[in-house]
Amino acid sequence: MERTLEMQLEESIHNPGITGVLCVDNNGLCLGAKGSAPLKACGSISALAGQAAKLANPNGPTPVICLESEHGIVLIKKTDKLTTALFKSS
Amino acid sequence: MTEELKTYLLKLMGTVEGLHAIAITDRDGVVIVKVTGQMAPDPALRPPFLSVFGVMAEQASKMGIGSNKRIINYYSTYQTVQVNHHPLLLHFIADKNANTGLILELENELADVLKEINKVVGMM
Repeated sequence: MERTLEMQLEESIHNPGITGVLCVDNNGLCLGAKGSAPLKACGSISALAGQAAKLANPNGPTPVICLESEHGIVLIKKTDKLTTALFKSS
Repeated sequence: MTEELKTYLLKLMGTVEGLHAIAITDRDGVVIVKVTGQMAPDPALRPPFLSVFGVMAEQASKMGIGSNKRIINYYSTYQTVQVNHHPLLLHFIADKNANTGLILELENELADVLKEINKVVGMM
């Protein structure tokens, strides 16, 4: 059932610089993960995307959140029923 | 100590939107500490509800896939997240739209508190 999602995650992780990828549903529960993505962060990722969506124009596209730290970058994007987080090494 | 614990739990409760109550019970569902918000559903905090999780976890552990750790129930208006932290049980009662993942993350935040309560329960 989740074969398509697994394939998409596998495809994403093969992009240069990507160390992990995480897919979360609207309840903050993990749907799939590849690489070194921290599974403990599922809830926070979904919550962050939800909070950021409130700041953006409700009729426009949902924002992409970029968190930068010494160890790398996390890109978070929320779609209708799914939030995706990409973990990049800096 | 109880007051400090309640203050801490209330603070944690405030970090998750839609979380109405946190209860820590023993495995029989006897409440050790509980904090509730105004919207908390009363039946979900009474012993008949809280004591059922201990039995459910025990039965679920017989499935042959290891011991049961957590049970999440979604109802029409509320959700309950119950965690088996032997010999203690953790109960979270939240709105149906609350972020379940964030509630599950609270388990890590409560690890130290549970360790302290475990010591007290162990002495009894």
